[in-house]
Amino acid sequence: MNALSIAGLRKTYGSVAAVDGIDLEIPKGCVFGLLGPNGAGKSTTFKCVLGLIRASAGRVLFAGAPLEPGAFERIAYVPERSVLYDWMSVREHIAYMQSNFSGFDPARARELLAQLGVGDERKKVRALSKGMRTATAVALAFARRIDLLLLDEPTSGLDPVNQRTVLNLIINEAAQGTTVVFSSHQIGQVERAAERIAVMQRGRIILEGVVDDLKAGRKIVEGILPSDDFSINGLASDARIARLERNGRILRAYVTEQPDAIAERMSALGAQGLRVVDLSLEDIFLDAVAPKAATASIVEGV
Amino acid sequence: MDYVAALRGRRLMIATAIVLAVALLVSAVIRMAMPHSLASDLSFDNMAHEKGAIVTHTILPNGAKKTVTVLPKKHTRIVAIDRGYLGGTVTITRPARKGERPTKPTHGFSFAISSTTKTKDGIHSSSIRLGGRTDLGFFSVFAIFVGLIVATMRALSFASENDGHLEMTFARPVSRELVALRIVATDMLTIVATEALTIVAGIAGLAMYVFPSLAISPYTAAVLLAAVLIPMAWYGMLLCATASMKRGYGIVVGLAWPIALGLPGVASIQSSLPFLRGIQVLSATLMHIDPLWYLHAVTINSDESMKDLASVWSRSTDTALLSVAILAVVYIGAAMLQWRRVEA
Repeated sequence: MNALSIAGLRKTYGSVAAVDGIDLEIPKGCVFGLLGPNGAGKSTTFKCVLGLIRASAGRVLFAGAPLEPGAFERIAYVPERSVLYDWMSVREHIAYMQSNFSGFDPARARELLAQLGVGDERKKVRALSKGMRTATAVALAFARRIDLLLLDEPTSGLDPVNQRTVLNLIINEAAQGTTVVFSSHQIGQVERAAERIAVMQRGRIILEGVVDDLKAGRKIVEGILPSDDFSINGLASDARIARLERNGRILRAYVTEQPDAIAERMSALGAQGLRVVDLSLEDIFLDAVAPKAATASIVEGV
Repeated sequence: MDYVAALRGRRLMIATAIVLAVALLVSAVIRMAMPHSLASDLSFDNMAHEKGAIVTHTILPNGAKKTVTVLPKKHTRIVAIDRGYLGGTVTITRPARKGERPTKPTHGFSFAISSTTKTKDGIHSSSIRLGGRTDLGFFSVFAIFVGLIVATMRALSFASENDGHLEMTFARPVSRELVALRIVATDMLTIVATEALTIVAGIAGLAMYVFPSLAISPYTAAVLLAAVLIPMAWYGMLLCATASMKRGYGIVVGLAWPIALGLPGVASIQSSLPFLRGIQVLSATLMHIDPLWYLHAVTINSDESMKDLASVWSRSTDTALLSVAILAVVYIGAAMLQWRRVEA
């Protein structure tokens, strides 16, 4: 049974669809990365899933059951912006969590806060930096016994050390069987932590799958042409090449199969310094959300 | 009990306690500046220095000091009984002036002073008593006003949550209705607790001057009930008005006081102009859903005696308090219905 099943989720504001028919199945114990440019509908999706805003249509199931208030005992959510109370101290937030969640471990929260550099519990939230507020929210969420963790930009505002700490926490939590769904603009982080990803754009999922599967067989073949205007006639029409980019003398082919054969073709054309590299998640993301603006000029059947 | 509402309530309680403590401190300073007990000031010592005055002092078996001052020229006799901290009485008798009638008795609940006068057989007698019984309801009237101020502040509970905290508030393992109920219950406790604090401070303030001899009457019950219901209805009304607001709610609350207090005034406008007449009718109607208007049910005049107070309950309180209770339930219910639909 999946930890989270989303079917036909839709949220409209007037004629604008912020979330436009999302279907997702997230297995238990999976780290799931939700990617997308600003305004893609990631935060709205999180809120719809948790019932914090009413979905216009669709169905959401948590471990096969619809969301009920009691389920929040096993679900933690860290929103994108700080929702902590400015006038309350960190210590009071710990007490707040303790009073609301039976599975909250205050000792663990203190340990995590210290690890993330929020040492002084007496400090009011208003006295904390943006990064420290994020760290506090993350620490409070990770100090609970939960089955599902939804994190909307959990590393936003954190320094690189704390970003790494949070990523490790996510990975450790998943290793203990918790399902983690997180969004981030830091694609490198998603690549490091997530097993599966979905890319959202304009409220829709435009790409979804296991990271390794998405990358499997897809390579970049890169070479340097003798001159800027050197002809690569016929290469762009090769069915094995998904996209061909040319940036001055640099020619880059996004290959779906037989990268070595493509490298040989480029070599035959006179390209030098040829190398075959793995496609990164960033390449996959950029290819999905902005194929035309991804990098250099696209070679359209030259 | 809701943790955040309780924390907010605690802060408000501390603020109220500080204000009351300052008031008590000022009262204590004034009291310390007085050399004697209040009762000793009733002995009219200055009269004893009048020419021909005959003054006799006696200590009564109960320890009270009795001073009798006779002014032969004025045919006046002043009997003062000073019981120190427990209070005292002074009775002045003199020939009645032509056509003199007894004045209306005053009771001055605030300082536990009462006075009565009578004229019989050509003799006018006036009596002042300090340290008489004070109805607990008097302190409750003050408490209502403190309760209303606290209710105004706490009425922003839902709006404050809407303003950036709903992701925390609603992502808890309890239904939204229960969250709302807990917040309302905690706020009500805060209001009642600050009112109790005010009553205690009022009694303490009185005790600085004279022994507080408290009385409980049907009036006390009426005011105590009003002290819970009127701030609750006021709280409910403002809660309802701001339940779905995420910002700008301070303006609503700020305008509520002048509007609510001004309604009875506007409702009393007498005019033949259709526009003004329309406003008058509208105000007179709206007045009935304004919780502050129901304060009239427990408003008393200073010339009402303890005996009169007993009749206050039957006079108008039943209907007024029932109405205000209904308003409280309707307003709070409507606020909760609105709030459960607010989106983060």
